[in-house]
Amino acid sequence: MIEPGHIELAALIPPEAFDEAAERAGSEVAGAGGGRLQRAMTSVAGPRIAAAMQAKINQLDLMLLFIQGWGKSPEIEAEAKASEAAGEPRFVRLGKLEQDLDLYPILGISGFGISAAPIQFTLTLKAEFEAVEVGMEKGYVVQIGGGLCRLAAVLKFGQATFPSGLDPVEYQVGKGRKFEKPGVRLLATKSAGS
Amino acid sequence: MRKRVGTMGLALGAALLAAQPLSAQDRTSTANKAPADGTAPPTQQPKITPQQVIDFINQIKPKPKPTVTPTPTPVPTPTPPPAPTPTAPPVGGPKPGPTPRPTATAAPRPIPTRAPPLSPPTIAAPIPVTPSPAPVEAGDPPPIEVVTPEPGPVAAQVPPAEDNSPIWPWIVAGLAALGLGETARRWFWPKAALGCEIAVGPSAITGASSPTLTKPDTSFDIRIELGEASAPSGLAVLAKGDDA
Repeated sequence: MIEPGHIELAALIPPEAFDEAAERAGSEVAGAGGGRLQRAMTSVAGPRIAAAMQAKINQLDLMLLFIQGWGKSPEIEAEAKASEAAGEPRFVRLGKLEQDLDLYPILGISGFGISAAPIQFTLTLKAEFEAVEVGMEKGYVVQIGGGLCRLAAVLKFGQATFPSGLDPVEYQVGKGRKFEKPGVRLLATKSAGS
Repeated sequence: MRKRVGTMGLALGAALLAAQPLSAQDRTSTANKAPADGTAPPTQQPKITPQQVIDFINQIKPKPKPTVTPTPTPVPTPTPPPAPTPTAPPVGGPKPGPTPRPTATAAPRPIPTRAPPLSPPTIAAPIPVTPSPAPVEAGDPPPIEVVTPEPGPVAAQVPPAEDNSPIWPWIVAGLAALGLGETARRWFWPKAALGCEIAVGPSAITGASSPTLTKPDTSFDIRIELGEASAPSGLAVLAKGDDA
């Protein structure tokens, strides 16, 4: 089940990727005049970066983020509008869809009164949902159940992509997960954007 | 320094020896002259000790070194001469009183009077002196002989002083070195212990390695900005309503 604390980055991104990310961050800090100490620290901070990212991701409910993206699909949007007009819950079964979610871990290093410029990484989560049942009410997703989600991740720094190559991790969406009302807004993003 | 100390010791010893025999001379001279002349001036004059002492020192100075070996020789020499000396007054005469005698040749009295004071130095060899006093004329040679044996003991006193002098300084220097070593150990030993404690610090730090040290000195922070999920691609809706 994709819930906070259920996704493990170590299963999605190999340690080498974090080490290279740390080296790149160290070089960036050294290039910015951060000093040898910061460079040395960041050069050995690959596991620390991974741990820090893991700690932050554990606080995120990635399912909500993915659901918010579902409203961008015209078919799902139409169903959301229909539910809003009907005033009754509507249920749809999603097919097999792919979705990307970009997260931007920003690394800040400071030491001895010197703060290096923040280094921004990109963590792209690639999700593949299949046969997920969605309950909608008034344009909001109130519950989901069934189906599965295959999740993969790629860590990037600028134009560089650190090694991944790991097989996607499969998560069971579960028999049913209800969201607190009003639920997850599907149309909000579209309405806000329009 | 040694020479100076030796000369000083010789001078002091000679002065002491001269002072002792003079007192004896005074006694003997007074005792002899009181009945002989009855005049004090000639008897008091025999105290030519300064000159004699100077001569004595001059005679002694070159001798101390050879005296070490000849010390045994002078001992036998004095004993044989006493017998022949009476017959050879000219031989002994020139040594002790070459200068005074020519001046006082006219007066035989002063010569013998002066001679006796020289004889008293025989204290070092009192045995020969006792028989000599009886013949007043023969008293001249014995003192001459006595003069030679005197330097013997004086010179003998000097070498032991020289032998002791190099030993004590070494002992004192050794004690001083021990004292200095002890004080140095007390001063430097605790400091060395402190150095060891300081040396343990870095090792502990290095053993602790970067994680523990970098924490307080450097801060490491990661925050995640959320992006938007992309629009899903693929078959979005498979079924609707009751079919779902």
